[in-house]
Amino acid sequence: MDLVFAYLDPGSGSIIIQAVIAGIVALPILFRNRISAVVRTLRGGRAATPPPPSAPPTDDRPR
Amino acid sequence: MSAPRPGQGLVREPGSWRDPAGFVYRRDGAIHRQIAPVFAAEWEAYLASGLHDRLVTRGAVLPFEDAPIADALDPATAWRVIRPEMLPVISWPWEWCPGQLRDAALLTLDLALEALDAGFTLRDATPYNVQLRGTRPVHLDALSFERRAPDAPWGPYRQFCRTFLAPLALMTERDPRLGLLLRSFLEGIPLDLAVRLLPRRTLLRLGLATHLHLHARAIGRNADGKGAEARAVRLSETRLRALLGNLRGTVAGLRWEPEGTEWADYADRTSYSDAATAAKERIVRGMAEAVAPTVAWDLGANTGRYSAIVAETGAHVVAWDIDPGAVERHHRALMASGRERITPLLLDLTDPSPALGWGLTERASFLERANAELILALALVHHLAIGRGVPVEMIATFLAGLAPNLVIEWLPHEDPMVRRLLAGRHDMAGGIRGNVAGWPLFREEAFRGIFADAGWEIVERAPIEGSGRVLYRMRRSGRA
Repeated sequence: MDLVFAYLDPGSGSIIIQAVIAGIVALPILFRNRISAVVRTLRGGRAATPPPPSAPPTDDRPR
Repeated sequence: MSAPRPGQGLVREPGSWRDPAGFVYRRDGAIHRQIAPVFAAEWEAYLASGLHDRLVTRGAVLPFEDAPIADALDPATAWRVIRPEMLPVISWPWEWCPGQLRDAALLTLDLALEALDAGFTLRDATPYNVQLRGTRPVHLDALSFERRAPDAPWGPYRQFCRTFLAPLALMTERDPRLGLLLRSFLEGIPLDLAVRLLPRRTLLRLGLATHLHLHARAIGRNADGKGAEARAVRLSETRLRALLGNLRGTVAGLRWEPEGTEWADYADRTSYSDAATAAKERIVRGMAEAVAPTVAWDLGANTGRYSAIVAETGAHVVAWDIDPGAVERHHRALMASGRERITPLLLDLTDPSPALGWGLTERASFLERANAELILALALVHHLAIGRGVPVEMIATFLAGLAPNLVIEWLPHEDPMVRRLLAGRHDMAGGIRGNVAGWPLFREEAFRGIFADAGWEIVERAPIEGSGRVLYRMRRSGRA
């Protein structure tokens, strides 16, 4: 399928380096997600009850 | 006259040959696009997702109507035909000020991010998919969206960096005139060239260091033989979102402040009184109302004082100016005011955009795009004649080739602006300046004769009280 529509040559070097750069710039986001996951786990483990409804929503979007 | 046959009045757009999903053509002047069967599933998915409606509603993507298959240029290979909204102005990115290129880049990235929310991705990311509606960018190409394959990298990353990020960084971090490089590199500025021209301090900014400097090195290293490695690359949605978000932040940080350029403060130091300015505004408004153009081109518009007046009469106005500072200021003022129907663009009248690209037909020249019914040439001719040495006869003939109506300002040699221009031309001191009153440009009768010889018929003459200047409205007589 992508052969049909990929009229644009993405360039091998550009594809390879974009993955590296995306990895670098995603680090803070992944780190933050990891932290909030740990926080959730700790809260869940300590309270043995469902997390309070005021828990902040989490997603992986840059803010 | 024979009855219309299918195919009559059908002209394929010469710039529309890259994308196998469909192509653009004109049917009796109206823009159409036929979509190939190969793109059917993607097109249905895009429309069904609601993404298109959302993007059109917020003015980000150009709307279209469905047209019958019988209207296709080639019905045998058409699966659908659409009729996109027509725009009164077509411009090329080297005619944009830094702020306009920046806004177009931000629009493109916002579309990529919003598409991602809906499970789609942008297939291409180039300023040629963007036009200015007023001074606000709009994406033209509804066929740019396709469903994103799981963990697919972003195909147009290199294209975005070459056609948006590199020229914008060169304009804001080095010199706004470097936007003209896009005229020489239609596929975008090669990144190895861009990084050689950028100041070294751009290495200290994460976005420019990665997307341009590091990227340029990677392209050099991976020119051949890395196809298999590239095919294996996977990019999670989180990482792609981070990449697009970082590009967005990088672009948003590239701003150019236009202080100190040649013309940017020109409107603030014009050479005649407030009363004369008010009189000139009143006359220009009356002359524009008499012509009632759909499209008007204001040549040497500066920051658009008179473009605004003509736009108020209902016209779409292209406010051309040679100075990036004036165009940038005009663009910002229009964005802040929310005023529509005025498009500021960059133009050197002594070197307007030529026809470019494959067969010299891909990107239409300045003249090929001339669709105005009215040209404004206010306080312009003496700049071309004195500053650039263009003979008045050639100016009159050139303007006659642009539009059927003209509003033009004549200045006497005593005018302070003329004096200032002459003072800057020491080479004219002995000759023309010695007998400046005898120069045809400054003898009103001779000036009129030159324009009559070039095919202009004088319809209206209106002196601007308190300035010695005269406004003329002329009509192309079709005689010369």
